[in-house]
Amino acid sequence: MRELYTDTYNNERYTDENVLYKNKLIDPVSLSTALTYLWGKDSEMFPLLSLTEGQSGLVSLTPKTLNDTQYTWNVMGRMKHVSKVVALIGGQSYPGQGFQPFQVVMEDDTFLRYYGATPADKLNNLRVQGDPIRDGANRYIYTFRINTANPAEYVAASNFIAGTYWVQAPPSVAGAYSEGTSSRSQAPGKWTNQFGFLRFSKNISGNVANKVTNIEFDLEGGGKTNLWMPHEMKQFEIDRRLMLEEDLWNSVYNRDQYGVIHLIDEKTNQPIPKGAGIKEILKTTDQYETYSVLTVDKLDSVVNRLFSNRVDKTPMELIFYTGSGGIRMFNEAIKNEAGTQSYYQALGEKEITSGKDGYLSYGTYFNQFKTIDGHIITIKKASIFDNGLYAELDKANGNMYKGFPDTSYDIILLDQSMTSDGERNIQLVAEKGREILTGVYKGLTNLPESWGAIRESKLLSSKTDEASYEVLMSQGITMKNYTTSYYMKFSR
Amino acid sequence: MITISRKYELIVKTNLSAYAIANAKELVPSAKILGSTMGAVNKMLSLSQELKLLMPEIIGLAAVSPDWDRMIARYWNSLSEPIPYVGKTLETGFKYDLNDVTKKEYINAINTQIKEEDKKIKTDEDLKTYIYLKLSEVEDAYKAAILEANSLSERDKETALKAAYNAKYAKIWNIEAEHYKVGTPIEPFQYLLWKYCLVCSHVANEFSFAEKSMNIEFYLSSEDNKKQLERIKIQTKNKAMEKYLSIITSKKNVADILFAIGLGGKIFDLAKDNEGADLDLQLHVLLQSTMDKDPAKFISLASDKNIALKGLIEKYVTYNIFKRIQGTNIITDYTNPSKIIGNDLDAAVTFCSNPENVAVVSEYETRFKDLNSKFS
Repeated sequence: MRELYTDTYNNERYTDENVLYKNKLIDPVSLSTALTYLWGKDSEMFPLLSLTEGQSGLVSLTPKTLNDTQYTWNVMGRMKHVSKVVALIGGQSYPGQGFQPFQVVMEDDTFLRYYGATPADKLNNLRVQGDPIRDGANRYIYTFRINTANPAEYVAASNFIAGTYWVQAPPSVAGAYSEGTSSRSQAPGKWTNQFGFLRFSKNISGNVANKVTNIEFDLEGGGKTNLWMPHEMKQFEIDRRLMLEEDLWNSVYNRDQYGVIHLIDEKTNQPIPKGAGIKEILKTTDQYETYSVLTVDKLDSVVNRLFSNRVDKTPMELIFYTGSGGIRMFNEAIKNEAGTQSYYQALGEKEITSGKDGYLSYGTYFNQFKTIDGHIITIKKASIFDNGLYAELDKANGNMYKGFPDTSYDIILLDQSMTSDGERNIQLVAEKGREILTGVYKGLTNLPESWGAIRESKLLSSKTDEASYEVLMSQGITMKNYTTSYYMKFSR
Repeated sequence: MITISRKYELIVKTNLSAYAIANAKELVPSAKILGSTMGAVNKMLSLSQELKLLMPEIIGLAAVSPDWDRMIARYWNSLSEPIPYVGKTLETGFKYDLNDVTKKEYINAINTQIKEEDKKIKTDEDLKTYIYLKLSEVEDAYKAAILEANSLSERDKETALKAAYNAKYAKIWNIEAEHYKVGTPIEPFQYLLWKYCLVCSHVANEFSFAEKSMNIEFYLSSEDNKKQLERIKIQTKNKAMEKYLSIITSKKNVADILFAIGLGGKIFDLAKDNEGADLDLQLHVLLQSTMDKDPAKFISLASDKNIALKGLIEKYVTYNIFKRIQGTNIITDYTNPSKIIGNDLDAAVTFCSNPENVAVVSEYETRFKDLNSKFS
């Protein structure tokens, strides 16, 4: 920190242009949006806040009960046709051989009578004989028969390992006297997450509010000031944003299977709810894998996996967020691929170009890749991967690779398209009326202009020469359709 | 030619997060992806000769191709193997054939190094034995190391177990680096994937190590491994029983251990309602149930050289000579809580063993004796 030159505040000489903090004039939620726009969108430091809050993607919800910050959203998945095997009944070595029926315990009653079924190895064509019999919780006894003309055919033992999935096939009936079959419909499922609360305070004492310095600071709304407090408040706000952004990525859902939150405030015994952040959502749903050196094959397999999850209209452009390390990996992956295809001349012509004053310039870089299906993968730098809290941690611990923190190589694909119901796929969620609350705890200390209209009040909350600026906010994230997002973690 | 099958299951570690539990109904059955890690990829790439022999048929490129090194690196860096939750079977067994011309040179080199004529490789069986003998020596050393670790204190035990595990798999890696010289994998890709798993930081090489790190997402399991775990379990139980039988020969030892593991309150209640042989019997039952609950922990407690002192300190806590500050492990003087004996039991042991504190420790002894409790 540089040494400060102090001077007395003079309204005529130093004007405070920091209108954003005058929170009596601006609705707190809009204020927050404006801040995100200013310091989020412009600096690319806060991709999640920019994607959501910064683009009106904030949803305010009213809690159902006190302290319950859970929220749900409907998800219509694809029709489920698979069912899990529990066990083969009878333990025969060659089930189904000699056209004999055999019985299997399945975990649910997904398969309908007279429908077909295919075991895991896809080597047999089976038919469900009659309705299943319920045999306790998660146990349904099915009778199957192999559709074959070969008396030696049987279902291999590997298909009966508990947990193996079988799939339903079309129904087959006799040409005469057949009974009707049945069909299933699938209701939308409900996904759950919860929002948490975050509180930030800025404490001051003495006459710091009126101190000016011998250096000029940039103001967030443009312009310059020599006042110290606007600069300190800008730092406070940027740091608060950084914490909020990191929380959206790294937060962990903390309600156990009985709905109990074990993280308790040590003074008040109140539970502290936390929701799942982007990384936990993607890891939980298996939209996740590690990588070492990025290759086009790896990118291909990720994109193929994503699109095998969607049969409807899908976004054609996929944005992969990463740090400086990740964009270099991406460039290397494409260049290596081009090298493998022997595109040396084409690459060289683009790579070496005429510079100024007769010099040559070397270096052009890839940031896009088009798949055979026409999907465009664009890599976009997000500074949080280079300079966020996890990156700072990596730097401090020496977890660096080629000059960048390990986090800088993490790559996250966020599907930021609109869902079929016209809503944003990724939304910021907050408690209605408590999206962001600000207030000042006022003592005898002079308050800076930036703390808004409160400074005019003569009422004190403390006898001490101190004051604090308080921010309480609620925040959670929703990824309505997780199947088109992905997390590739750099692993050493 | 002989063929020896050796199957491993690569299993997804069930580590359901609270978020997964909250949404269990909606989670679509899927597979977890085993991706690449820099350390494991580099380890695989270091097996240059072996890869040149086994991988041409996997990637469809001759080892003499100028693109070989780049394509091999690309292959392992692109690893993205879906592992179903039910597990994936990896056949890591080998075919051994003395007449395989591709092995001749290697086998001759090995035979040159073996001095004793009767130990030289002459049959297919010898090829197998050459590797399996070394592997069984590693297993024996590992079993011995685990048994020894189980008799250490809880803190030292973890370190010793980890060291034994690391040593075991470093040796297996080296032995397996020679395996291709005497045999041919039945399933080359599955064998190489197994080797990749052995050095991948996200895979535990056996179930007992799956919970040792949050970083682990998969574990390997084999029938042999299961049998070995069962054998170790029984041996540990037997050793715990030996310790138990030796402890119950002394009333003081029984009380020391029970107090030391924090059962002071329970013993206090038992002592109120029981006398003489009845009390002894009740304490033996308590000791036995402690042993049954965690035999390995019981062995480490019984082998703790400070157990008598730990027992004494806990007796002091039970009988209000010392006090444990609520919600912490801090032990203080009961009458003067500002006088801290130790921040935890180990620190209290250090305090009581310090020759500079003899006078004050002896004062506590006198206070305890004056109580005339059944354990004074």
